[in-house]
Amino acid sequence: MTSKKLGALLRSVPPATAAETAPAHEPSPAAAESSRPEQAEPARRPSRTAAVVESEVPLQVLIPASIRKQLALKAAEEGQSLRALILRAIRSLGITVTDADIKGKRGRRNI
Amino acid sequence: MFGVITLATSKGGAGKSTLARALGAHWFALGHRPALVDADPQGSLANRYDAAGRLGALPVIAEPEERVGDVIDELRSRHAPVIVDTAGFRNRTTIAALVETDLALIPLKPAVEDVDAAIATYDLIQEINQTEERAGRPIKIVMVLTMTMRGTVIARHVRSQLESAGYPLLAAEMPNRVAYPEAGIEGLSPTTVDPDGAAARDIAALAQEIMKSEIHQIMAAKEVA
Repeated sequence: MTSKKLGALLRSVPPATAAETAPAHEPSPAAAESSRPEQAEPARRPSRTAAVVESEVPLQVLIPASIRKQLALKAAEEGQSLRALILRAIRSLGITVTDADIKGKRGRRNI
Repeated sequence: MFGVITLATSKGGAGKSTLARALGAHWFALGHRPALVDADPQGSLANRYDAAGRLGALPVIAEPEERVGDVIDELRSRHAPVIVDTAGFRNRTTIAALVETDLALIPLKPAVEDVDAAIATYDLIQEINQTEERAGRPIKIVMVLTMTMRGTVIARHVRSQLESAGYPLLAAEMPNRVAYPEAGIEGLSPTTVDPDGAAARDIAALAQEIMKSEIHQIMAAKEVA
């Protein structure tokens, strides 16, 4: 339980990353014109990408040095970070990984 | 149950990450069990961590969110010291880390912008010390001059101004040396690459001065346990 004083201190500064709720998608003018109430689709659950950017947790694993080297080479060849490469591989296993997950939070912080 | 050192200042480029890695490498070389927490979204430490490298056994945990406090809490049962690198701007993650901290190190270059940021960070930590969470156990604070050029007037002037104003400042400094960026290419530190070199000696002097403070007793007690 955070004390009132610490809570006030925390609220007085921005988060380190942009992990807050993103604004809801606004329909384009054309879409707004064409969508009459009787035609409106039922409300859908917001997707992970549209609603919330999750916090990230560390994942450290030991792998053979030769595989680590191949990963580094592959990342360099494709001009991607190791993180992006590994997340793409995880997505290929059928695990839900969005483009926003791969893009990551870097560069989206509020200063 | 303690042993957490957080490097904090709201000014970027003051040497937080470099000093965090250098201190971690120094204590690791001495046989301690330090861990690094990268609480900066830029990920300067985490991005250069190489599990197969010479500092592979010095863990680097990336946690730029407010839950960094939980991460620190978990790590300090197995590691001492836990060294936390923070972002170069005021943010909630840094405050969350400081709440869990025994010793706050405020690095600053001998420049007016760094001095302003260091004083602002000092004031912020004093505010944290007034919270219920830190009642009766204030965070110890020390400033440290980084990237100094030996014999320059500005470094002497900044030191004398801070000391005369009553701010705690380590006598040891981290002078500007090319050994840091060179070693940093591979996520290493001068202590690892050239343990007898001048930069490694600078870090040893800094670490020794830090160890003289109460953190020394904390770390020693943990290792006995």
